[in-house]
Amino acid sequence: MKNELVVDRNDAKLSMAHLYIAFAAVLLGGIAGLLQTLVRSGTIQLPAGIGYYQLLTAHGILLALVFTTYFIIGFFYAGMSRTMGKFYDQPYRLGWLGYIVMTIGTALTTVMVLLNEGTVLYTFYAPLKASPWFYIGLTLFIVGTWLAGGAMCHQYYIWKKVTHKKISPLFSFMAVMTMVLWFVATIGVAVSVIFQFIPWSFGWVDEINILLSRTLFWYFGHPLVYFWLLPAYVCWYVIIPEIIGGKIFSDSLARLSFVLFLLFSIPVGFHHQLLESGISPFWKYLQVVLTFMVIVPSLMTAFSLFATFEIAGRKKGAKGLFGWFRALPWKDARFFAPMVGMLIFIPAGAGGIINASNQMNQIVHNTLWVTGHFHLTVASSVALTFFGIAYWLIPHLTGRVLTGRMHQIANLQTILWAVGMFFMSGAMHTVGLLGAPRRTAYTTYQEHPDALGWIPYEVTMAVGGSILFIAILLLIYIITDLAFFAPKGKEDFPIGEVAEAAEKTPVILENWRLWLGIATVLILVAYIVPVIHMIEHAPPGSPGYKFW
Amino acid sequence: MGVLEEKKETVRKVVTTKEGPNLKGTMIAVMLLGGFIVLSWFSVYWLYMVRL
Repeated sequence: MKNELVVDRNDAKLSMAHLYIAFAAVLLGGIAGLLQTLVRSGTIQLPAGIGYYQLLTAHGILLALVFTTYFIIGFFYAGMSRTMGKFYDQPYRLGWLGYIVMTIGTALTTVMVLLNEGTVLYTFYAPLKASPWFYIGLTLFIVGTWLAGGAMCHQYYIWKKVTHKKISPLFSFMAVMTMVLWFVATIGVAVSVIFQFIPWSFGWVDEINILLSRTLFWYFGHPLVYFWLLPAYVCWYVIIPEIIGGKIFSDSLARLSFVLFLLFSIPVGFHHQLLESGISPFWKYLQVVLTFMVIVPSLMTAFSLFATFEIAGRKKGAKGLFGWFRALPWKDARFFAPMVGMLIFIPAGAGGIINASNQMNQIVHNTLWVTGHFHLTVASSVALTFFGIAYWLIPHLTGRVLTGRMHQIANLQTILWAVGMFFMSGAMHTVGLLGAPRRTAYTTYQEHPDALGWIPYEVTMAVGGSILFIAILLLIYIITDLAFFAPKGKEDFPIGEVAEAAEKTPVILENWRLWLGIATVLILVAYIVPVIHMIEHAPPGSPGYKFW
Repeated sequence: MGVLEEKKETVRKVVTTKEGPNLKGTMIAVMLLGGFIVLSWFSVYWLYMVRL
C-alpha cells in the first residue's frame, strides 16, 4: 500500500541496510580514534604490531568515507520514499546493486588496511603506495555510490514524468542535488585512481605525477566536504522546522543555496594546495576567490535558520530580542543534537575561512589546527546532525518509537560529544597554532623544547578523545535499542511545510541543464589551464614508497 | 485604460498591506555571526603578521 506519510517497507529495508553499516563503521572508526589520541599523547604503545598510521588510515576511511556515505545514501532513500512515494522497480533494484558494489569495495579496502597493505591514510597521497587491491576497493566503493546516485536520479526522473510537476518536493530536490554534486566531484578521484594509481600500484608504469594526482584528489576532496554537509543542511532546512513547530522560511532560498553549493564547492580545490609548488599563484588566487563565494550560501542558510527559529518562537509567544531562542525544544533529542551541530558550525565555518586564506594557510597548513577544524565540521556539525536524524529515522523505519527515556540518553550523548570535542578539537586548534604537525605519531623530536610544549595539549586531546569514545558507546547503545528493542509504534518522519508568506518557487531553480552548464564552465575556467600545464610541464615522476 | 488603473490600484493595495514577520533577532544574530568570523580571521592574520 502506498502511503505518502511513511516510508515504504521495502524502501525502509534498503535504507536500514545502509544505516547498519554506517553505525558499525562509527564503532570501529571510534576505537581507532581513541587509540590514536592515546598513542599521540604518549599514554600507550600499540601492541601486536599495529601501526599508528594504520589506525589513522582506518579512522579516516571508516568515519569520513564509510559512515558518512552509507548514512547519507540511507537517509536520502528514506526521505525520497517519504516525499515522492515508493521507489519504482528499476531504481529500487539499482539501489540494492549499488549497496552490494559499495559493500564489496568497502570490505576489500578495509581488509587491505587491516593487512597493513593500505596504510596510506584516507587521502592516499602519492608517492605512498598501497596494494592495488586497496585502490580497486576504493574504485568499487565509488562505483557503488554512482549506482546509488543513479537510483535516486532515476526515481526523480520517473516521478516528474508521471506527475508532470515542474517543482519536486524540497527534500528530494536537495537529495538529487547532493548526488549530482557527488557525481561531478568524484570524476576527479576516479580519473586519478583508474589512470594513475592502479597502473602504478600494479607496476605497469614506474612513476606517478604527484602534483596531478593531488590536484585530482582535491578537485574531489573539497566538494566531498559539501557532500557531507548538504545532507545536514537538508535536516536543518526541511526537518528541523517541523520538529520545532515552525515552517520552512523560504523554499526558494533553500533551493538557491543548494544551487550555489553546486556551483562554488567544486572549482576550489587549490585552496588545499596553497603551499604546493608547481601551481601558478594566479590559479590559486582565482580558486580562493571562488572558495569565498561559498560564504554566501552559508550565510543565507544561517539567516534562514535563525528566521525559522524566531518566527516559530514568536508564534509561541516569545518576547524580547532573543526570547525565541529559549522557546526552542531543547529537551527534544531530534532537535538538540542537530542544533548543537549548528552552533558548532559557527566556529567551524570561521576556521574554514582562515584555512582558505593564502597568508593564514601558512600558519595552519599541515598542523593539528586543520585536524581540529574538520573534527568541528564533519565530526561535530555533520555527525551530530546525522545522530539527531537517526534518533527518529531508525524507529520510523523499524516500526518503533523514540521514548522519553531515550530522548534523555540521546541528549546526554550530545552533551558528552560536545564536551569531548571542546577538549579535543580546542586543544588541536591551539597546539596547531603553536606548530604541532598533523598526521604524526608520538615524538618529542629529540626532546626539542617546542615539541615538549605540545605534550599537555596532546594529553588534553586524549582526554577529549576518551570522552568522545564514551559518547560513541552511548550512541551505539541508542542505535541498537532503536533498531531492535524499543517499543513498537509509529515514529513520525518530520517534513516541514513552507511558510504561507514565502514566495512561489521559480521553476528556473530546478533547471538542471542551466546549473550543470554553469558549474561545468566554472570548473573548466578554474582547472583546464593549470591541469594542462601540470601534464605538459610535468615534474619528474616518482616511484612508489612503502614506509610502514 | 480604466481596467488597467484598477489593476494597478489592486497591486498597490497588496504591497502596502503586506507586513513581514519580526526578524530583528535574526538580523542581530547574523550580524554577530559575521562579526565573530571577522574577529577570528583578523586574530590569525595578526599572528601571521607577528611571525613574518
